[in-house]
Amino acid sequence: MDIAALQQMIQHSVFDFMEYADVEGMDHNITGGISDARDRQYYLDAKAGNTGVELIYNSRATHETLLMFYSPVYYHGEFAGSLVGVYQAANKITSLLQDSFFGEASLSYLANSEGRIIACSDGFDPQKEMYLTDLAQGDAKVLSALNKAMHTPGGSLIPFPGNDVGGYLTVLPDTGYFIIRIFPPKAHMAIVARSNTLVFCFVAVLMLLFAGFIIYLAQFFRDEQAELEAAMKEAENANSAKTTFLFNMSHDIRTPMNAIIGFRNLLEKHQDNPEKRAGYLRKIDDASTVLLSIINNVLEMARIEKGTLEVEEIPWSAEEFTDSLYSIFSDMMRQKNITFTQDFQAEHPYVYCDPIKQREIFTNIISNAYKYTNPGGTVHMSLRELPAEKEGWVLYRTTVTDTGLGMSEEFLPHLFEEFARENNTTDAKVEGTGLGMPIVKRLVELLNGTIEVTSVKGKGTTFTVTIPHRIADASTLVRHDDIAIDHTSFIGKRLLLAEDNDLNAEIATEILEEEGFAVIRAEDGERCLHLLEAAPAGYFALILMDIQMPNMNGYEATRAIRALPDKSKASIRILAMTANAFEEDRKNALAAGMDGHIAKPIDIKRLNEAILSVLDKK
Amino acid sequence: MKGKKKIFLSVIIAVSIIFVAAMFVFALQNGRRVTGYNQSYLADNTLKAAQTIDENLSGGFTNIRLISQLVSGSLDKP
Repeated sequence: MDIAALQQMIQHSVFDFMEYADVEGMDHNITGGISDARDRQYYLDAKAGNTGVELIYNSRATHETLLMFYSPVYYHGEFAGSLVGVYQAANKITSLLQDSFFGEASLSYLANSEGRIIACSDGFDPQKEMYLTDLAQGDAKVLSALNKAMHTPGGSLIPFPGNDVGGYLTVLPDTGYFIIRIFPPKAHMAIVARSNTLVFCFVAVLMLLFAGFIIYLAQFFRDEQAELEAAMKEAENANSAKTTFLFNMSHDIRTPMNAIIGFRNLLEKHQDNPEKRAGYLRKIDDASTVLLSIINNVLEMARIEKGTLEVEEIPWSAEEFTDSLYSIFSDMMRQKNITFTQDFQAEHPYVYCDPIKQREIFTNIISNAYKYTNPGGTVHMSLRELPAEKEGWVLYRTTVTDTGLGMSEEFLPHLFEEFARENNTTDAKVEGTGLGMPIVKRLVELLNGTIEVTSVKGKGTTFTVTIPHRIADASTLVRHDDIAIDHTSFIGKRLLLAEDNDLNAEIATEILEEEGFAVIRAEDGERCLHLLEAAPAGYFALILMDIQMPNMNGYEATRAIRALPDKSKASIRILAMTANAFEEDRKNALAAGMDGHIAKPIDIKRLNEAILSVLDKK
Repeated sequence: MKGKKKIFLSVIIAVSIIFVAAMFVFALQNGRRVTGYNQSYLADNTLKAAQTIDENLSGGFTNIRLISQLVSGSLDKP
């Protein structure tokens, strides 16, 4: 075999270089060097007729690990030598062993069929004699797994301490060589850590959202709880206030009732004594007035609390109002020897106002001034106009100053509380319920005004009420003059009285008959309707209709009368006479078809005026 | 109120313990799952590498056999 031929063969083969061991066992390499190969496997095995591969560690020539593929050469059927093709294991095999998992390089080993390591992905010292079993490093479990894997077709996993994944060993089928690849522990830990972190973060976010939701729910229920507790407290307070109210009412009502009953008994005993009789009647009258005032105040407070009060503004003369207040109280003041004065200064004397509420406010204030000022004292009422911010509006500031008992500093903040009185009726010797001032305050606020009080005990009190008013034109004023009562016009007129209460019916009948009326009574609305239908047209001049009656109430009866086919009967005048004494009751009566409204208890003068005005209507 | 606070605190602690335990169990299970995936991947990868190396080595055998036959046929003297 010449070298040139050998070189040609190398060029066209897969081998890094080739050698030839001749029939004598002398190895010829491409450099022309000759070495003794008579003890070499590649010569002996080839001489035996086999093709194979021999691993040379630390070759004499290159000190490398070499893979020598050999095959026998024959000349006329006779062994002529061994042809050897060489892989330089460090180059080819090492590169085939190198790989990485998730960026981390894995460690791989190639071992021959005896388990001796011939190559490593990480470089390998050819001087070292290392076997696969050395990878166990004395660990019996690893060693056992290695031995098992080396005899398992297809290979198996090898556990390594500190490496959860471990390694995998398999046999190369053609060569009988082994390859073991070990998973990089860092890569495995990184993957596990990353997936755990993702899940933990996701769950943490879920937990935070859940916690937030729970906190929100807890807060929501806490707020609900607080609201419920506040509502319960309010209900308890209201209940307590109701109890206090009933207690106070019971006491305040019993006082004039006692007077009425007491003086009635005395009247019975002293009927023959005209002087005493007159005195007792006067006192019964006073007590009745007080009792009525208490009841009216209570009802007024109830309506204010319910929020059903409405402001009804009409054009109004402020000067006439102050004059009328003065005239109402001047006699009383004079009789008590109190100097009562008033003055009025306003550029715009005509404004829009709710006269009923206005009257109630100042009646209460002046009434208190009268009650709490001793004889010899003074009460002064003054009205001044002030400019308002809104165009077309003015402010009326009314002050009522007295030189009365005054109030202490401690009591002043409680002045507008219900039933608040600095001294009770017994101590102060002054009648009162403690409801007047709360009513005044609420009415002032309803009219968008303000009220201030200054007082010095023993010296006197000043009330200052400031209310805004829209300026009115004098031409829009409607005057209500006193109606002259001509009693003769009542004589012979038949009046149908619808009243279910026997006592009220008796009182009304007595009063009306004294005025000249002939009174026919119906016990309820239904009876009233029947009586009217049965009577000829024009028989009755007027119907006095109570509202709250059984079977058919006053409103229903009125509507039924207005629907009668006989127009003359349907158009009969109907006057509501009822204990429901407020503006809305008057409106309801008119809305039902009634012609007027008068409140109980009956005031004879008012009743006559109301009847006259209704009868005079066209 | 104190009692309610204690109960609330106990609930918080219990939930926290359960959460931590659950996370621990999950981490364990997840670790095992990832290990299984990686082992499967390792096995496939190693078998593929083994096949490549085997093919390479087989190529060597085939090559040397062929060349030796050629040489055998071309020899004019031993």
